[in-house]
Amino acid sequence: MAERTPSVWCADLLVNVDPCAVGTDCTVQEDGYASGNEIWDAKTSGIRLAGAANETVMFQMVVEEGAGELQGMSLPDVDGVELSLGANIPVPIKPILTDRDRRSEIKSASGAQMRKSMKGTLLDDPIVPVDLADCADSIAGIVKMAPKVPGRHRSTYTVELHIPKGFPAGQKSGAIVVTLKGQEQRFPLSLQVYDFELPDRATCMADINNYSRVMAFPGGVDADTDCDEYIAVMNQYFRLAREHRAMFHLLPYSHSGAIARGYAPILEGRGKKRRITDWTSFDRHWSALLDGTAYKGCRFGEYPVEYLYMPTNLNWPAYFENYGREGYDLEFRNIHREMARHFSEKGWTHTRMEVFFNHKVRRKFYPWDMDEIYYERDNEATIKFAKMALEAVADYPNVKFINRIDSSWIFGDSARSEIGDLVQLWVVNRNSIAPRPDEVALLRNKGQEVWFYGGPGGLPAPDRLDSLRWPWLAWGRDTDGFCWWNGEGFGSWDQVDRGANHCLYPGDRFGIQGAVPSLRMKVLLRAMQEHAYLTLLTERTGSRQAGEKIIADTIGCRGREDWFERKRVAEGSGADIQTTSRTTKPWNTASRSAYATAARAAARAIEQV
Amino acid sequence: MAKPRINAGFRRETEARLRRIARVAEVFVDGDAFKAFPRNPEQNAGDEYSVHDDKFITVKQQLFKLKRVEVGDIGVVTWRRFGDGEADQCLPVDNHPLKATKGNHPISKAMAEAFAGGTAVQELEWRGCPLLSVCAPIRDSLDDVVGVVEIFASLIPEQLKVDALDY
Repeated sequence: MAERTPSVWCADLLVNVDPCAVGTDCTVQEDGYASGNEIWDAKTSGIRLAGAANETVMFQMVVEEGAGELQGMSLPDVDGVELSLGANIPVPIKPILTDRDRRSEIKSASGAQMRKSMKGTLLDDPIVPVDLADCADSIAGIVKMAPKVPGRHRSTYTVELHIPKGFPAGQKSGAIVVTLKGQEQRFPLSLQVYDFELPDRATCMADINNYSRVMAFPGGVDADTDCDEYIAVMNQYFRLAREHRAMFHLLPYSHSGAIARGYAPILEGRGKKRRITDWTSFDRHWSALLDGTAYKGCRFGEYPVEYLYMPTNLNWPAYFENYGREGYDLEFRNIHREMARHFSEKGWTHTRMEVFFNHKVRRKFYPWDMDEIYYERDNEATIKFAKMALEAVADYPNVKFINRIDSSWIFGDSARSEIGDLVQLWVVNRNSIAPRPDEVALLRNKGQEVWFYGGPGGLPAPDRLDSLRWPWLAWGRDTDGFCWWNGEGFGSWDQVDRGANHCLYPGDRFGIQGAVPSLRMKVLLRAMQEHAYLTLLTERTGSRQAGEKIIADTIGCRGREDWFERKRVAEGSGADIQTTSRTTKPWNTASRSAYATAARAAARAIEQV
Repeated sequence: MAKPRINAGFRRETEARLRRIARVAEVFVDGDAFKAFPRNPEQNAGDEYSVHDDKFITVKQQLFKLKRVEVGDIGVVTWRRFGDGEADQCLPVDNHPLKATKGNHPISKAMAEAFAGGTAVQELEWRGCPLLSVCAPIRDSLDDVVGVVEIFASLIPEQLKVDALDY
C-alpha cells in the first residue's frame, strides 16, 4: 500500500513538485519521497540544511490540499539567520506540438524520461515573495492574482535561510514554525554552518541575457523607455539578478539597429561633424548601474554592474550608408573615443563596456553574420570592427572597452584566427564548446574570457539538475562563466516556454515593480554558491587538484577533459545544434545526490585546509 | 476599440511624398546588384543563408539614402519573387508589419502591380496604427523588373513612427 503523503512536507530545491498530481505521485522521484528525502524526515518533521556564512540555503515546503492556507512562518530559535518565503506559482507550460518542440524538449529535459504525471501542463516555476509580517493576507493576495489552476492538490513554497557574514560555525538547532488553520506547527531545524564564508562577488559570471525592451511596463513595445519609472523597473531586474549571484544583461538594439530611447547618447551631424550632443538620457539610464548605487542594499554587494553592452551596431554610431568609405570609420572611431572619454570622466572604469555586433545575415538587415558566424568569410567584418573599436578607445586605458563575440558553428577555427587576439570575451554555444577544450585553454591563456551559453533548463523535467549543472560545468571546463539565454524569453504568464529560455517573470501582475525569480533562478543561486566552494578550495590549496578529486569520487568526471566531448561534431542546424543532453559523460548522468555529495565534500575540504 | 482617425489632408500629403520617394527609388536602386546579391536565390532563410556583401551593401546603402530624400517618417523594404506566388522580404532597412523574419509572404495586390511594372498604393496596419505604403518596381539594366521597393509611413506619426533608425 502506498504511503500516505504528509499534510505538510519538505522537498529539495531541485525536485519538481507537481501541483496537480494526486497523492504520492507528486514527484518523479523514488517512492515515498514526501516521507523522507535528502533534507526532510516525516517521522520527526525535521529539516536538515547546511551552508557557509554569506550563503543562502533553500528548500521547498509543500502544503497539501486540506491542510489549510499557510498563515505564518517564523524562525524563532536561530538568531541572525534571515528567513524569507516565496510562493511557488504554477504556470501553464507550452505544449509539445511540433517536431521542433520535441527536439527542444529532449535538450531541455537533458534526455531524462518523464513519468506520466510530470507531463502536466501546469508546473511551478515563478516565485512571488511573501510578506512574512503579514503572511496570510500576503498569500491570499498572491493567490488572487496568480493564474488559476484547475485540479490543484497542493501549494508549494520556497523557503530561504540566509546565513549572514560572520555567523559562527557549528551545528545549530531550532525550528521553523508554521501556522496553518490557526495552529502553530514546529518543524525542527538542524542547520550546519560551515567554518568559512562565501565572498560577495560571484566566483564565475552567471549572465542572464535579454533584449532591449524586455521589462514589463505600461505601453509594451511602445513604452516610454526614458521615464524615471521605467528606469526604476529596469534597475530592479538588475538587482534581482545580483540577488542570485548573477548579472542581468540587456542588449540595447534590435537586428535592424534600432535603439530604444535613452539606451544611447544623442548624436548629431554626419562625417567629421558627427558627435555626441547629449548624454543626459544615457546617463540617467545607466549611471546608477555603472557607479553601483542601483545595487544599494543588495545582499551580494553594491559594486557596479560587471558588463554593459554598448549601443554599437552596424548603423550606430556610424551610418551604414557610408560603410566602406572614409566617413564611416571616422564616425565610428570619433564617437567611441568620445564615449571612452565620458566614461573616464565619470569614473565608470569598473564595468567592461562590450562592443558586440548581434547581426545575422539570415535576418537580412546587414550583409554578415557577426553573431554565431557560419561562414569563415564573415570573420573579416568582425576583425575590422574589433580593431577599430580597440584603436578608438586606446587613449583611455582605464576604461574597460572590450570586444565580445557569440560563437558557435566555427568556434574552433575562429578561436585560432586573428579574432582570438582581438576579442576579449567569447560567449560560445554550450554544445559548440564541448568538443573544443584546447581552444578554450588557448583563449584563456591569451587572457581572453570564455563563457558558454544555452537555455536555463527544462521546466517539465523531473528535477532541476540541468539548471544546477551550469556553474559546475563552468568550473569543470575552467571557463570564466556562462550565459543563460535568456531572462524573460519569449513566453508569458499565460504560456511559458518549456525552459529553453524564460527564467524571470514580470512582476506587475502582482503589483511588483520589476521581475520575480523562477525556481531555476534559485537553483542557479545554489549552484553559484557551490561554484564558490570549489573556487575557495582551489584558492586555499593552490590548485584544482583537491576539487577534481572530490568530483571524480562523487560526480565521476576525471579531470577537466571529462567535462568536454573532444571531437564530437555538430549535428543538425540552428537551434538544433548538437545536443550535449544526450551525452553519457558523468556530469550529465550523475544524480542530484552525487552533486549534493560533491558540494558537501568540498565544504568539508575547505574547513580542513 | 475605435479606429484611429486619419487626417485626410495628411494622408494626401503622405501619399504624394511616398510616391515621390518611390519614383526616386525606381530610378536609383541598382537592379543588377539587387537581383544578384543572394548567393543562393533558392534560399531565403536559415543559418546557411548568405549574400554577396558588395552587392548587398550597394543596394542597402541606396535604400538608406532614400530615407534622406525628404523630411518625414518613412520605412523602406524590398521584395523579390519567391516560390509560387509569394515574396521574400529580402533587404529591409526598417521593420515592416510583416517583419523581416524567416519565410516568405503572399504577394499583395499593390506588390503584384509593382512586379508588373506599375506603382501602387496600399494601406497597412501596425500595432493599431494605420500606415500608407507605395510599391514601385526595381529594374535591372535589361529593363526587367527584378523586385519591388516599398516605401511606407505612419499615418499617425504622433502615435507610431516606422523609422526607428532616426538617430
